[in-house]
Amino acid sequence: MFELRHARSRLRNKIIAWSFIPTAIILFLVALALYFAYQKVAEDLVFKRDEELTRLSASEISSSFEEYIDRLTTLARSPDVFQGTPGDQRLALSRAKNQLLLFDGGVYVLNNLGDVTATLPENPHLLGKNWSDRSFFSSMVRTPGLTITNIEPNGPEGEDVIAIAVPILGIQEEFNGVAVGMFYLNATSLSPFYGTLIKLRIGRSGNAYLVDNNRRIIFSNSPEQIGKQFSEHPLAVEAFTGRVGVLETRDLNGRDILVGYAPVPRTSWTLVVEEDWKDMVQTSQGYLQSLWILLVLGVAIPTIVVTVGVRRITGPITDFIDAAQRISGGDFSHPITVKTGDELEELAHQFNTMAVNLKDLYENLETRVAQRTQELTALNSVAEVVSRSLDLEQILRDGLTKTIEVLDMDAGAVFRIQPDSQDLILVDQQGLSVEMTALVSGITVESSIIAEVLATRRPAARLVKDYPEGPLKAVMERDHLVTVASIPLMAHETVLGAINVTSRSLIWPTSEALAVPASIGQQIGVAMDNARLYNQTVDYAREMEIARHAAEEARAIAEAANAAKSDFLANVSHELRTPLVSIFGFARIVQKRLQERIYPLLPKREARVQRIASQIDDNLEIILDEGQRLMKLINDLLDLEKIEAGKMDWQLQPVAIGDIIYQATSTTAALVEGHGLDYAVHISDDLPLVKADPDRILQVVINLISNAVKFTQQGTINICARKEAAEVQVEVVDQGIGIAPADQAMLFEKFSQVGDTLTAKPQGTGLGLAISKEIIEHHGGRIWLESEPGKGSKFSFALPIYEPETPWDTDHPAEVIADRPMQGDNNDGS
Amino acid sequence: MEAKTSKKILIVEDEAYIRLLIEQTLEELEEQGVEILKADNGEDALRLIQNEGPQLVFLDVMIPKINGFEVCRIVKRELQMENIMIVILTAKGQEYDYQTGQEAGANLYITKPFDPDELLDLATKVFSDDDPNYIK
Repeated sequence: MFELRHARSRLRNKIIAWSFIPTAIILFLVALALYFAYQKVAEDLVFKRDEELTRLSASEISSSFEEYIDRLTTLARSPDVFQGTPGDQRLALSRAKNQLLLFDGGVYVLNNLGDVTATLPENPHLLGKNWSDRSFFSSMVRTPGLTITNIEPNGPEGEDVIAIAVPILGIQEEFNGVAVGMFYLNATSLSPFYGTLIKLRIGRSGNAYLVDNNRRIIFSNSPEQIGKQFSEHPLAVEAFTGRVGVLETRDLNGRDILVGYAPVPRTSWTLVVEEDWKDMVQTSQGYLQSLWILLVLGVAIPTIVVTVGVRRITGPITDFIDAAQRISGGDFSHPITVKTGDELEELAHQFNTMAVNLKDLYENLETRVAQRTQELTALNSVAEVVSRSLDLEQILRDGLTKTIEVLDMDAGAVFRIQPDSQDLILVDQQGLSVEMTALVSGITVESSIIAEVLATRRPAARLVKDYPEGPLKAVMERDHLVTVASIPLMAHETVLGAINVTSRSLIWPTSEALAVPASIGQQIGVAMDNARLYNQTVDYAREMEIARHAAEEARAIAEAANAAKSDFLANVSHELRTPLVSIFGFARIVQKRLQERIYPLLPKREARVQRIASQIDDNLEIILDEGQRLMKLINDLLDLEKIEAGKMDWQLQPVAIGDIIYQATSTTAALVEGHGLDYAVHISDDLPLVKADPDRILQVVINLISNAVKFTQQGTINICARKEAAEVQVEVVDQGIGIAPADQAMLFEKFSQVGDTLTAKPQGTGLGLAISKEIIEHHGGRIWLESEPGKGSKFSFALPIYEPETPWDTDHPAEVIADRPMQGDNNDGS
Repeated sequence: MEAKTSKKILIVEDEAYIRLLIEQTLEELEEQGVEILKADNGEDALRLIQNEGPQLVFLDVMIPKINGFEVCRIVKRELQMENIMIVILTAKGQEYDYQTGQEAGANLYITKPFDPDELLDLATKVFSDDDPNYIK
């Protein structure tokens, strides 16, 4: 169930992700864009408004002068003024006093020359003064018209004033003079001018400045600024271009301000209004908040809607999942109801149809499976029976029983087909009458249904009434048998037998029904084959066992023979040696006694006696020599036997041939010199080691030297050792009589001796070279001879170089143990 | 066991002729006051060794009752008689026997047939040096 929930939430998440989030993002972006656009628009509006306000204010200021201008104009138009005498003018002035009082700087009339002709308040001291250089007059002279001045020292005493002047025109519009009214630059005074300005309430939040053309502040809502120079501000430049405009900037305190500027009509003044930016946008801030709220709502509401709405989609899907689970659990009884009127409903409909079909299939399948199970159980029980025994007869009997059971028949018989003669042999029957049994036991293949089975190698079935007329049919009908079926017992496509079953009811065995028995037939066939093979195997095994036994015995006999031979020889050697001890020993003692005690007593001058004594001595010497030779023969024989039987105890080690050769020469030195010969040894440097039994190799070298001595009358025996390819080669060269080619072949055989036996003493045992050959060949080497009669002989042997496999210390090869005390040292090296 | 003053040699050999041969070989020493004792089986040999305390024993291997190696082992390993020189005589000359001799504690190993002179030289050396521990 956990997985289900996951599936659902995955889908929902997908829907949310794919439908909602992009929308939300877009909304958000749009809102953001709108916000900034709105900001911009608001700003622009603010700017515009500010500009307008400033302009209007400037206009208002200008308009506020109307009254002042009216009063001066009225004055200037009164006949007393424009065509009267100065006295008339003074009178006119005092009559209009009430109207003109608002000019706190006074009102003055000047004639066309610029002389002051009348003043209000009266100031006789000023009369006659010439003010033609004053700006309001000088400008008027050129172009008579309304003039509103900047802050100029136009006052009666030269004070800074603002002057409004109108021309006094005669009847013919000739310039007759100027009427000028003045305002002091003094905010603290109750000058109506300032009063008017204050009334205008310009610059609620910020500062406002009325600035003249010289950048002097005429009026400000910070009174201390009046008369001061308007600071050089970048905006100052911009503001005084005579245009209307708005600037966004910072004031001296760092506040964001909006500055509106507008020229005051009819003057050369400029109105500068500073507004706090924050105040300006205050209203828009309120809108901004609303905007944010809307945005949040715009994101939150869809979220909720989608989340809720999604359920409506994933809900049915959950139902699907549940239903699918039910169906997969085998419960087909609950159709899905989805009434969403959309594709889901369609899907639900299809789903239900599918469920119904599955249900049918399921039920169908169940039936089939039940059927098959039954068949297989039958097969299994046969297989079980079959595999349980290797007894062929048993297998066939059980097969018959099962087949009858499975096919629901009444009786049957099982036959074996003799492989060579193709005769049918009845093995067992069940449920057949005595006559029937007798008949089928003698049946032939051709007359039986089995013929068909043999041919087709498949089960066959027949009605009894279709049988050819004959004794078989008669008996079957008599026994009320109606149908017959035959199952082949096969292995490897060969029919080895058949099971025939028969029934009294009209059950026609269909090929489907026969399928199971056919399988049984196969099984049994294979079992028959296996049984046959098994029996064969058993026979083979038995024969093998016998053979093995015989081989064992033969080997034991051979071994026993070998052991007996070794024992025999060992015993013989002991028995042979024992008398030798006495022969040799006593001969020696006799010789000694004669030499020490008797000969000295013999008369030296008696030649005959001496001769006899000498002869006796020689004879004894012969006994001793022959005794030694016999001893050597026995030893050699034993050595040879040991080597041949593999009983020799080889002590293989890394050995330096050079050392062995030196040892051999020292051992045989006496022999060599005794024959009047000498020897020369040449051993090459850096001769590699060989792996050998040092004592045995010594034996070989001594043997070769001894032979050389035997066959050399004079000269030098040369012994060389050198490295040849992968071998160490040793040569013993003599300059003796040589050996005839005919004899050479036999030389390494046992008991062969060469030499003229008439003249030469038999020397040696005839076994030396045979033993040497065995020894060298056991080491993996070769021994050979080169000889020419009359020239001499060269006996050589070669041994493989020692390749170290183990980290033996090759700096210290095993030394030949020379002086071991446990050897019977005889002079010729045996 | 016995006084070191009397010099004795023991011959252990079951072959009569060989016993005689060795005795004749050592005649010279007899003349010098060395007593020669004889035994023809291992049991008598052991008894004589313990009772008489010979300095030198010529010991054949193939003797009845207790064989030569065993006698040697008992004398050298069990009784731990150090001051006695045992020379093993045998017709066999195999490595195996040499080793057995070694293990039994034999001092020397001579194969038959031997040169009687060898035995005489050896015996002479033993009694002339007066060093019963004379080893090869």
